[in-house]
Amino acid sequence: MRFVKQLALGSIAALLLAACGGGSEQAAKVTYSSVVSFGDSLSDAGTYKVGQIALVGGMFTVNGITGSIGASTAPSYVWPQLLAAAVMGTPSCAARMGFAGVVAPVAGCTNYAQGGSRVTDPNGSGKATGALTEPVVAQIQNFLALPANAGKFKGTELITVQGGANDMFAQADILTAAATAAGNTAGNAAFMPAIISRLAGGAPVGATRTAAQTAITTAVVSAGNQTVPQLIGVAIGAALTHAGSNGYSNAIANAAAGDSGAALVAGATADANAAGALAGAAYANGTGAGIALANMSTAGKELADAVKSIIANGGKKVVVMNIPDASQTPYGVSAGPQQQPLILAMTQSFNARLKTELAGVSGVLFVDVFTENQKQFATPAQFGLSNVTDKVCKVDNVSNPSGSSLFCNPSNVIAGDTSRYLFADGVHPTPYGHKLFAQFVNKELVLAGWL
Amino acid sequence: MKKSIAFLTFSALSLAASMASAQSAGTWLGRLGMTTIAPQVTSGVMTAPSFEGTKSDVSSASQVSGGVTYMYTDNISIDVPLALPFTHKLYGAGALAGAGQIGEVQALPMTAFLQYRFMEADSPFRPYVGIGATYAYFFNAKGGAALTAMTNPGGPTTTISVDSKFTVTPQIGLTYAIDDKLFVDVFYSKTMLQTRNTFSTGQTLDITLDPASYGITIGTKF
Repeated sequence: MRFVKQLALGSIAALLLAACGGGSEQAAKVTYSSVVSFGDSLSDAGTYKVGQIALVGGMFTVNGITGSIGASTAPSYVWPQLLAAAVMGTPSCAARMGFAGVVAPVAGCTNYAQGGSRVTDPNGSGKATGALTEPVVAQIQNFLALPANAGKFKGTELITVQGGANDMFAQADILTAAATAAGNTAGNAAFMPAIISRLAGGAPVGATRTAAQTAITTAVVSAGNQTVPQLIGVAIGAALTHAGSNGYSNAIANAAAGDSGAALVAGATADANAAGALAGAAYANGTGAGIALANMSTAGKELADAVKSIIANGGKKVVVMNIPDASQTPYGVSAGPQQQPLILAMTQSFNARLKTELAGVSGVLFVDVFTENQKQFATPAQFGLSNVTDKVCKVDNVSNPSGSSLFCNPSNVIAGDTSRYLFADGVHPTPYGHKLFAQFVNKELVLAGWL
Repeated sequence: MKKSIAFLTFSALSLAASMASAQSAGTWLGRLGMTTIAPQVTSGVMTAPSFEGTKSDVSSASQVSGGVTYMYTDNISIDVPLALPFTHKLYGAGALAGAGQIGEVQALPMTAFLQYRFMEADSPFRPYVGIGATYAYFFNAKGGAALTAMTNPGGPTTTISVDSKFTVTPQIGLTYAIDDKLFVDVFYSKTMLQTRNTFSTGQTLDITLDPASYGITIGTKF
């Protein structure tokens, strides 16, 4: 009986001990000396938070949401900062700050990502208006060039790399310009033939119309180097002459003579525009698309090469994020059903090459944020997202002339509860969106045994 | 050494004769040994916001255990197992498969069994069946760095609380009388238990644990 009492007492004692012993938590499996980040606006911790910009924003998300990390309304931090907060206890900060060509290194800060940066090309998005846009390869060189780093990574850093979106915007711009040029060329070339065909259309169907077409064409060609209005006049004259000498009345030519060719020109312009649009689209979907996709593939390889250079210089743990699904961003959707598939294809071209080039490279953790982003679009509620289509920032507002979330803060956002929206502007996530990305990257780190 | 062998031999020889009142009405029995609780986990999915298909798994746990039994009649007994708290590890599963341990919780199942013991009170082997009323008490649940990183990066540590529950526990067992005082008891029981994990970040995760408990103890009558 005494034995039973003792056991019961033991059990109670254990309970008390257990109740007192709470609070010690599991520590992280792996520790790091710092979190170093390279990339573009998706990783930028506030490169442009200087001068007047600092008064209204400075990061590519909804700026100026205060509060401690982890608060229910996510404060203004980008995902690498949250990653650093999780790994190091404090968020990372911009290593080089400035605007319009003035750059100041910030001691103790290890986030080199800059809004607008491309992979290798120094002329990134917004460079013309003052953004520094040091490309990812230069960011890495800037890290290595610091005297304290002496050209090497220590191997104890957790390094994050992403990029490519600004290369895609550049390729999209190039493609749009080239397609427009191709369309204009085709449209211009189609204009006089359209005038001639429309005038010949006034002749009776058959041999007479064919003969009229030939006669008008011959007249225009032999007129030689004249202005377009003069050539139109020549064509109208030739049509009237052909009608008179062949004994029929050309109503179209008569009307054109009556209104100085106004209706004729309008019709031919429509014909030429249609031909130009067709040619532009054909270029965009054919030759132009081929060039854009090839260039994105090259950019993907260049980013992979940059990652390999980090490894070659002593980096041991590099997290590489691919481009999210840009085609489903407000930017991608507003590009319209013609361009949206191309944006998707460019993204995939970059991502596929990046992944292929990094396959099997030791020390690299490839994080497929593209697929995770697609899940966010497909099932927003799963991620606690209330909206994945609209922009929180009023980017067309006079209070935010930057055209992006760079100048966006709670004073110039849309009305209502936007704390669970995904997008701050056309392409950049809200602080909550960044938190979701950070959680996803952290999950991949945990699964890889890196955290 | 020689003496103890002699004692055992004597015990075996005298078994039938000395067993007369081993587990008869009014007897108190006490025992000490080991018990393992093996949850048979069917995890629900974590509510939003979460990674699609986030599940949990719960490890088995073993602990020093014992119990006290009162023979109400020669066949009907009341049994209360006693044990130190069991520490169960919580693992990521589903979308978090491979994440390893993400937390732990301590469990103290408190059960009172009503048992029916077959055979005569002095039989060497007495199989029994029981039905228990259980209060599954969970306490001291912890999260950790990995869980926090995945649910609230950089934020305060994400903690888990596990709802304690009343439930029922059917049981089967067998005692073998070594002599008129000592016996060995083996048992297997199954507790019907569904509970809810609540994360400090707001999500919940319903989980069916249905733990199987089994153990072996050596006991004595008083």
